[in-house]
Amino acid sequence: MLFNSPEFLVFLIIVFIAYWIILKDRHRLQSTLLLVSSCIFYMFFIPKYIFILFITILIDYFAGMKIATSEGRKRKVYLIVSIISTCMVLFVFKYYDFFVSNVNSISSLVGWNYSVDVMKIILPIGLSFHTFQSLSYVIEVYRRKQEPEKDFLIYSLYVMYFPQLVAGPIERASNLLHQFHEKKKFHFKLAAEGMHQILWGMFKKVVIADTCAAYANHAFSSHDTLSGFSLIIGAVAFAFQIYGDFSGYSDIALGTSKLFGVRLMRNFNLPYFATNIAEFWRRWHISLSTWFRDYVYFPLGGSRVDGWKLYRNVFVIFVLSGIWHGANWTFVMWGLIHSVFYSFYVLIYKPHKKSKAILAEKKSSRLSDITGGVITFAIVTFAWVFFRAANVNEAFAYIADIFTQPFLGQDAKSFLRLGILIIPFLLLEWFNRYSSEGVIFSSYNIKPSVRLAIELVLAVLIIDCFYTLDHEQFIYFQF
Amino acid sequence: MKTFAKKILFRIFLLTLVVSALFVLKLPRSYYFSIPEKTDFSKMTWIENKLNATNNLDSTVVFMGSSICFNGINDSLLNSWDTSTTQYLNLGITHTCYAIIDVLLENLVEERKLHPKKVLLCFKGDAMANNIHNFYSLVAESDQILQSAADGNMLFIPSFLKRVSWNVNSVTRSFKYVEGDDRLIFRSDYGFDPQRRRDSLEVEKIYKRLKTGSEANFASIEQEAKGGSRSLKLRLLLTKIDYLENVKFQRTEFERSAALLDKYGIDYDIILYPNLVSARLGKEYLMADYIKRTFTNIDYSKHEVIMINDSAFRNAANFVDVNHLNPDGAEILTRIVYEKLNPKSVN
Repeated sequence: MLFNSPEFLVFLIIVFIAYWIILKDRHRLQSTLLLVSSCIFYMFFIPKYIFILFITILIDYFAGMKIATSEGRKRKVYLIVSIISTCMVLFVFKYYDFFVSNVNSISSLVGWNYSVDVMKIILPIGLSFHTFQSLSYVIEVYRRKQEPEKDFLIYSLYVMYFPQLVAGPIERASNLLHQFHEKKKFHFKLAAEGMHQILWGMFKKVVIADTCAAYANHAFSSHDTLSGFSLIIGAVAFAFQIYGDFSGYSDIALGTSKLFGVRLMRNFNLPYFATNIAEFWRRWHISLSTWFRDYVYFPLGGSRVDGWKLYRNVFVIFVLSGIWHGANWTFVMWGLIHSVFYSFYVLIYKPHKKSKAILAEKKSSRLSDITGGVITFAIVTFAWVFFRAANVNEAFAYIADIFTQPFLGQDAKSFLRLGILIIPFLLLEWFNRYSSEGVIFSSYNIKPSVRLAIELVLAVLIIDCFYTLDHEQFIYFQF
Repeated sequence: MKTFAKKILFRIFLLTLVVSALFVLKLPRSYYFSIPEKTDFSKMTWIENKLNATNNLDSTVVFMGSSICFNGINDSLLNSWDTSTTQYLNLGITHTCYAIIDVLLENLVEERKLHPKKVLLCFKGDAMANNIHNFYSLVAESDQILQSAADGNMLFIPSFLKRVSWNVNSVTRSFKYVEGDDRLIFRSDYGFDPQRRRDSLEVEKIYKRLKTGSEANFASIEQEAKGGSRSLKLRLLLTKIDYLENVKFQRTEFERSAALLDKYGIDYDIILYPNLVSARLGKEYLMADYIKRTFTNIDYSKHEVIMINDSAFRNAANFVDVNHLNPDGAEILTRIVYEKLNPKSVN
């Protein structure tokens, strides 16, 4: 069941009514309803995979309890067992075929007669997201920053909560678990904010992402016949497709959750307005970036280490982040490119040497911000080419075609029309930059009639694009 | 909670008003038919242009149906074989449904006053067309879409909203599409387009995959034909097919088409297209019986149900999948249909 499907609309209305009207003030039953609904939501994809999820929940639930009640080496053993078993599921479903096909390739290269069959299993939806969420829980319990959750229902809900089950945000136990324990009262303001966020998320997904997808798909499938200019616009189209797609999904997730009185963490904060690559990563997929920061980067020493270790740390988190996205060399390349540019940024600014105060005082002019913003966007878009391409060779061919094909051609005019959509969208995002959690116009004192008119225009555009464009599945569902 | 519900309902009310206004908006017919031009459904634009350039169809035999018709009846060959004044025109469209055939027929017969010599309505050999074609809301007028609700169109709301979308699209298309692919434009003097050939082994694989489903379908038709008390399983299946898959509505639309042709005294027959599964099981008669049992308003002494029963259609070498013929299969089928229509030409 996709967020942008009529089935989800019906599902959401039913769960909402049952939650606030039928089960009003019956907190335990409300939580049970959310868990049952989450199971139904998940089973809409491949029903039997719910057992895999159930097993990981069971393992980490008991591991959390054991870690909390044990001391010394035993604690560590329980943590390791939990991490290995959770990661093993991820490895088997997501990385086994990639690993085996690479081993097969290497063995044939060196002339060994060695070949293992790939399994070709369909990846359980959202596996990387709930795996990382489960890992964060056991690690936090191990670090004694989180009490183990004794209530199995609540713990299951923490892993399975349907608004964020299949594509995040990757929540922390400290933010989510206590909210499931709290008794819920309906808050008009929160629910209204949720509705606005859903509307804005749907707009980003259905209007922005799906329109950009048409341009990006055309550019990436016919790059050898298009002009250089069109290919640049094609890459920009993909940058906006993936942003509209994923941040749109996150907005719908956050908005949906608010309808049930639960606040999820913000996952995007206008990343394409970042003025440098480090800022981009503080604004893009925040829940994953902070996950890698807290559980990989900091344990490795973070920015406090000197010399090559700092660059090693940057390299490790970006390559891991690439692999997290998928078992393909294109994602590894994407991570590598970011690690190179991030390292370059670190080399110039050496943030660990200068105090944060100095950096904060660094005067930045509007011009340097704009220049920085354009350069950052260009770098990010360049890296997206690898993320989008079917394989690494295709990505290089695409980039080569930008420079080798005639720069302007008949097709350029057609691609330029994307600006009619993207420029107003960027302006909207810019005016919306101070809104709380990116909820459209929440920080402005707009007349109710104008707000209503904007809502209607957005709704009509969503209906228009929903029925006249090909639906692209949410890109991040595959991760 | 009450305030929230009130505000939401008020917005739904306003949105309904806005989309209703957009729904009744009538744009030039040429706009709607220009949309499929560079898509897989470009045959629609071709048909519109063809009919715009046609003064009469008095001596033309017209074939209407889905891709099985579009890719199965070679009207170029028919016109070359028939030396009389009779002409043949294939108006089949990929993935079409009876709802689309009905609105196209209404336009042909009532708006354009083009009355073909004969219409051949094409049926799949294993099942009724279901759901609704994506472009139904493009070719149907708004009043026809509203009528479809009365006819039991279970997909009325999407059909309604799609019409709204096509109307809004007249403004938003300036940024929504990259230039379509010119290669998709259907260019031909005739309405036939051959399918790309597929290796027989591939077709056999498809056959194996789909065989069980088709057999179950045939079993349910057989069980239904027997009458008497129906098992709960069968009743649930038929309900699912009728309502969730919109087949009841498709039947109604087919009846409307037949009634329309009767009203204007236009001759018509029904062709059952070859299906690899039904041919191999020797169950081609099942759909013919189903049609006669289901559409009781049709006078079968005047209108024949043409059943294709030929050993060639038990051979995967003539198919690209279980329903669609390759150029060889299409030629065999065209020959059989020609002989059925012109019995004297056999010798």
